[in-house]
Amino acid sequence: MKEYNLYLFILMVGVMSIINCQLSTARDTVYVSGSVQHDGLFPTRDISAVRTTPRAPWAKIDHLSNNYLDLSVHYLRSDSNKARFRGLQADTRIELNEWPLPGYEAEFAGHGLGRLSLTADFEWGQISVGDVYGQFGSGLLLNLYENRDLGIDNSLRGAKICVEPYKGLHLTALGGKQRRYWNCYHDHAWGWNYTQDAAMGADLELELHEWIPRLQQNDLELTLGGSYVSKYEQKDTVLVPLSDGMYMYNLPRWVGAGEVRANLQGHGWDALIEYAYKANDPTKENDYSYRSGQALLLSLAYSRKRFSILAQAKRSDNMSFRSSRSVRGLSGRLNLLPVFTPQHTYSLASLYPYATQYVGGEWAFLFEVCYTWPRKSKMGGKYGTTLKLSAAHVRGLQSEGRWAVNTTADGTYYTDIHADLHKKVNSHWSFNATLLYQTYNRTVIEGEGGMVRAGVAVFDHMIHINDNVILRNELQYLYSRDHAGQWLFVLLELDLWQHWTLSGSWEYNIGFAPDETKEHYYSAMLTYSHGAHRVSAGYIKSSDGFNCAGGVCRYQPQQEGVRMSYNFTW
Amino acid sequence: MLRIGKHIAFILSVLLFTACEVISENERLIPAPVSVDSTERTHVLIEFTGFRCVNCPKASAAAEALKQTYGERLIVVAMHPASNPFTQGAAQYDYTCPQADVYYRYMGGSATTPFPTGNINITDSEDRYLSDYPEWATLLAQQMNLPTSVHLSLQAQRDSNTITVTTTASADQPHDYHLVTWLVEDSVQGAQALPDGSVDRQYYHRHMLRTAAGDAWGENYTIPFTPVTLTSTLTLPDGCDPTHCSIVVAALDDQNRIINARQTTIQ
Repeated sequence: MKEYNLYLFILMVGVMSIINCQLSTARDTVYVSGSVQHDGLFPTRDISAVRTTPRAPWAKIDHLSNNYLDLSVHYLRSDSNKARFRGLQADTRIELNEWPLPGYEAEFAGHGLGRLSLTADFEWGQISVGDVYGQFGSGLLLNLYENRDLGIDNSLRGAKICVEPYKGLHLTALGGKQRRYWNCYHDHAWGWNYTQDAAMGADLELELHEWIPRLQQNDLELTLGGSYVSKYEQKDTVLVPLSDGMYMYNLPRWVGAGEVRANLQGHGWDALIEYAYKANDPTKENDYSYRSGQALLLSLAYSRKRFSILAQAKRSDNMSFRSSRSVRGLSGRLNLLPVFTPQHTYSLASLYPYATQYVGGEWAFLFEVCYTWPRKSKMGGKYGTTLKLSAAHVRGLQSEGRWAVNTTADGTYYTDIHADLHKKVNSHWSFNATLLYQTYNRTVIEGEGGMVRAGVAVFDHMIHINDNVILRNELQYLYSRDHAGQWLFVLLELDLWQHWTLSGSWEYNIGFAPDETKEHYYSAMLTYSHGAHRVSAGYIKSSDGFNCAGGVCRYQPQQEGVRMSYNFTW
Repeated sequence: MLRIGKHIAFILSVLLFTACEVISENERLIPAPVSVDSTERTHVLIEFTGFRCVNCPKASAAAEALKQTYGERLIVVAMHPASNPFTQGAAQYDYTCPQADVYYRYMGGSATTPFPTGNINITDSEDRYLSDYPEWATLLAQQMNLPTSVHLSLQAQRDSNTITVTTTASADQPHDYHLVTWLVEDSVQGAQALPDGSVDRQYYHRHMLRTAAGDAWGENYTIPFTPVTLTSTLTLPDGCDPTHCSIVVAALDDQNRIINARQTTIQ
């Protein structure tokens, strides 16, 4: 069935060519942009237990890879500033993930056109047809995005319209069938079957400062917004055996959710309040609970030269909003709750990443302050010094009432308190030092394991030997009496002649760790970059763990083998 | 006319984008009488579980509720596959058996498959074998009244540690079937992780698959129209209490789907 979409793509390119022939003048512009991405693994250990497609017929395939080709054809009118019709853009993405890297969900495996869309720009706005993305507000109700690390693409196959009828008034409406891996092609050749996974919504944003002169005079920007998202699904037969016989859930076909927000900015301050409500949405994920869902987001930030401060709080309960009531896991989600816990890039600091509790709910708090001492001050030295302090804390909700914070010992889901110090000592040497304390409730986040307390120290420094040789070195240490024991991580990275990077890392458990085996984990990679091309190859042996982005996590099993990757953007 | 069209389009779009159906509390559950016809087919619910999986007791309770509903028409077999880390971690609570892992892997299970999970009659639904426990009642109801072409009865006798299983089988039309013989132990007391983070060391594991006769996929027989008697033997594994054990024989077709099964206590 996927060949229909290839024909559709060829048709779109043909239409673009015709438009180009008919409309273009010498000054009109048509160009093609795109990117290629390949990430591959030749495993050298048995991965049959962890591979995404463990069953025949590809059990003998010994090269796993994720491959993407993005292509966009742009047509821009030379007189676009004056014309009512300003341009067209056709986008497509070819995905070849039949034998993907380990750890992706089983339905991720497949190949075909993952995206097809045609966007027309007009004086009054924009219309897109095909696979559309978008976000309303902070994403409490709708955030359609792609994340290749997690294997997420939750676009809608339908249409989207964005208009600005008056200056400062933005209206966005969209609707379609949500992509869940290859469901569009399974249900219907063209992916336009709206009896399942259908969602639609509209968002209105009002920039009051465009209309109220007093706000402009005081350098204030006040934006009010609101959105409504609903999803449609046919009634299913979901039986539930009870003591007095068998029953069936009376499932709503339409589930609606609304959201309002206000954002005030000015004089370095940025304040946001946002509230979302979701009506009864019984799903497999929430054990077919008819309870409504709610989310409240408060954010206050202040920044001026060399100083910034951020305080945020979020309360969410039963806010998993999916287009299909029978789906769990990473796919099929319409919303993405903002994450209030830091996303560390250092290996040991990200050993215990937090996954947002969409169904059970949570209270999350974040406080950050950042200060840069100026150059030539006592603390700043010759080049300045930056210190960042951050504290994030997530707790569960009380079972009764559900608005209050669960203050019991088990109510702590996650804590992250860390300090980052960045200093450039001289023209050759700079460093970043991090101290981190975490508590991590494995029972809530992973399903079992109790509370883990861990401390991490990181020293990351860079030595600029000369214009052709730069050395970077990471030293990381983690201590946890509860779970992981003591880990050491060392990274050496050598940048040579601005194009070559040679890196090697070693990770080892040096202390007591009841769940860990005494294995050395290491990697050696060689990377070459030239212009928009980047190719790397090497050997890795990595431990298992969770790969998280935006509070959404994917389990990544242990891997060993030859890794290759290639990226090219044009 | 154009103005009226615009109004209608606006009203329609508002209705479309603001649609919502609120179900009142007393309308959320609708009685769904169970329809069990007179076919003699018995179904097998395979429950993949692990002692470190905190939600597995919920699945076990769901399986018990189905057993209460369908009685002898349903056989529940709990399997602890070694491929999933929820079954690993403590030698004294090792409930795995090799055959469980064969079925688990066959049905697409891996180290990353969320637990608990299960299957009805080793049958796939749109290429997907494993389903979450809230789906089991629905999937079972879909299969409950399907006919069978194989008819089974069995007896099991124990002599010391050797169990001899005598199966009488006949088919509507002579055909090749695999007969799988399982030893299932009920009420095995041991550890089980619970959702609150605690471990219940007095937990009773139900319907646990302990071993199978020969290969996981059993023996291949041509079952004739007239009843034929087939015999297989099993060795009682160490630590199994024979008074809690039962024998399950399942007939599988050429696509490994269970099309009938029987369960009996050991004499």
